[in-house]
Amino acid sequence: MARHILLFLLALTSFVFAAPLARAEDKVEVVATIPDLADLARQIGGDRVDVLSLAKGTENVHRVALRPSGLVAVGRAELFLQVGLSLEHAFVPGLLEAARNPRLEPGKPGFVTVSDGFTALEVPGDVSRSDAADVHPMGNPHINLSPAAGRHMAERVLAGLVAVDPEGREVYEANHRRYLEALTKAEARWAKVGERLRGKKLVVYHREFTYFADAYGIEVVGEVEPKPGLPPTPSHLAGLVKVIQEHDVRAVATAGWSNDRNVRFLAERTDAAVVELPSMVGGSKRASSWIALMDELHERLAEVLDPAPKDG
Amino acid sequence: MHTFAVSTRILRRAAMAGAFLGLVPFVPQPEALAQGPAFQSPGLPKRSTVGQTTRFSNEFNPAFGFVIDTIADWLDRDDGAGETDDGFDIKVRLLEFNAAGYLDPNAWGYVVFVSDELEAPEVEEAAIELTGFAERTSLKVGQFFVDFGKQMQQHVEELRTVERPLALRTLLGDELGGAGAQLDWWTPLGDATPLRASLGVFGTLVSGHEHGEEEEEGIVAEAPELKALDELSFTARVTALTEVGDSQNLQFGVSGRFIPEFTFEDEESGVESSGLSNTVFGADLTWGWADSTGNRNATVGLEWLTLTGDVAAEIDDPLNPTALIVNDDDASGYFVFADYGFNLRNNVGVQYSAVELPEEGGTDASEIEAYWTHSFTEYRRLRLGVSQLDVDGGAEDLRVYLQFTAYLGSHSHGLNW
Repeated sequence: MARHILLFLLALTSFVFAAPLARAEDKVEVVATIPDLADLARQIGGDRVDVLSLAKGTENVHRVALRPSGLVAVGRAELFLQVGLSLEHAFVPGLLEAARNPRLEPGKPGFVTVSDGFTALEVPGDVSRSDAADVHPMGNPHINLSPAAGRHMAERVLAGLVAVDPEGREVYEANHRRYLEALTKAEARWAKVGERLRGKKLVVYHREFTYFADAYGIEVVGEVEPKPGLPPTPSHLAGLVKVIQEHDVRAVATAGWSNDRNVRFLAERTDAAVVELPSMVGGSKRASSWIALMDELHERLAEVLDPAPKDG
Repeated sequence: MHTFAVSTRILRRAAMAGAFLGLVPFVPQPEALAQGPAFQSPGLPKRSTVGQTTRFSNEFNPAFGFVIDTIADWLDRDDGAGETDDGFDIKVRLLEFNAAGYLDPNAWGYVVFVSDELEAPEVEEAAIELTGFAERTSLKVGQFFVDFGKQMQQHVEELRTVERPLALRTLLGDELGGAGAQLDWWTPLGDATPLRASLGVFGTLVSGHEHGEEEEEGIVAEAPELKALDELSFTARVTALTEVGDSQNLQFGVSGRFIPEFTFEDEESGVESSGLSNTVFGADLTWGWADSTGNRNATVGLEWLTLTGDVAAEIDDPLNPTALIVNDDDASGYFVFADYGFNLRNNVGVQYSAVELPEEGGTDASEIEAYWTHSFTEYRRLRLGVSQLDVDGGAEDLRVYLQFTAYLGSHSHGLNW
């Protein structure tokens, strides 16, 4: 009886999941860990690539959920783009191990770490679990929120695409040039807004905005997490209230995943505004591309840290 | 007759060798690695390396870590025969030591030692996972937990609940580990559905945790030391994982564990019954959901199992045992669970399991458990739970527990599905 049940279930599996095995289109399959890199791959790869992002723009990048489509895509991919600096250590090693795609092994042309060659901030001098729960031995990994990282990431994506698809070099290089032209214009906008941010004070939830703050000399005077990866204690929050009041901090910057009751507590006890910012492409309706993400970050922080004087 | 026997053995060996060699051309070989000369005097072990694993270097040592699992509980026990007891206990339930690392680009190895209640540690797993074959294929060899359902690959301290579900520990054992080899392969079905299959062959899957051992004191299941090919134990699993909408996953799987030859033996009298076999089939269905941030998530699952064949034994006469009466029957069980993570650090859940106890003539037993788990960080976890075990017309256990689990050093798992 049981054998018949097993055979029945096996047959059911086959019918339920029967689907075409082959890809419909003959494009270069690219998997990016975060939507920012997926956007760059689409901008530079154009019609020659089919791109999937493993993380959603609204997710905590340290806690990305498994999606079957991600496993399938990694199994097929010719190019894998990750930020590196252990940003994706929670899900990339296990995913690559399960996918068993020899083209994506570290060291192969299909495995690209875009942070390679980028100067990281907050590189710990001493690596110890007593310093934090989230320890990044090679430095702060959130380089995708650095206004200066666009060019670097685009260069790395271009190199990766050319390495796995040399026939597309001309297309990729032309798209890359066009992207840099758009980026140059955007950087001019950001520099102008950035002047308004210089020297302003900010409290953040997690150290996601370190590169952004560093670019414009924004002083981060406090963090809701007492140490990266640790939830705040009541005494830490009480201390943070004092810090916000003493420094006349106007904003607590948080991402969607971290906009919790602790942040609301600070807003209720102080005059600081809570600014929920996208931390990746897709983190808000407006942040549909990396340049749009940066536009939104600049404008929204400027609105709250250096508001334009009201008429009258 | 003698000549015939020798000829049969030779022919069998030749057939096995031929079958093995015949497989070789179909197995894609990994790229050859550069190998340096073995710098060693005659007669001593030679290492075909380029000097990266010398005793003077620690750069390539495996990562290692400990798990400390501590439980404080209150138990109210009724054995169903008029004996009752209750009280508190605090203990280090287990101490686990693990080490893992790459041997080379095509081989990953790990070992797990476990000390139950601080007794002498035992090797629970020691295995090498070989990649470098065909795409999406790997081969694991050594001693390891078999691929059955969703939970049997996990060590007990990793589970959602304090113990393995009643149906699993009754029909498969607290843990199901074996020495052998397991081939694992997966393939995409469309863009959002991977299907995975595994086939394992083991010296035996009759273990110290075999069902019935604790209750049927004195009667143990044993496998023959030397086995014919058709006496090896096997496992098989097929599972598919697919997306439902943008935020939900659904997984369906079927598993089997086959023990074609074992013996029940009454250790006191030496009475035994051999030529026995049994099989466990299982089917599992799991649904998962996560919100757009990944902070909130929910999981609901069901796993059903049936054990068929020689499921239990008892001695014919307790005063003067002359034979074992083997129960050739079926016994089924299942568990269902629901788990909800309401933020990054807190989960609550409930699990219900029911099973027919094979060593007690199919008596029904059930267990319900509810828990709250709080993760201080990914290295420290506290769980408060309550469980109730009921055996029809028999024992009843009520347990309230506090479980504190700490991870010291490296601890990682591959993607199990």
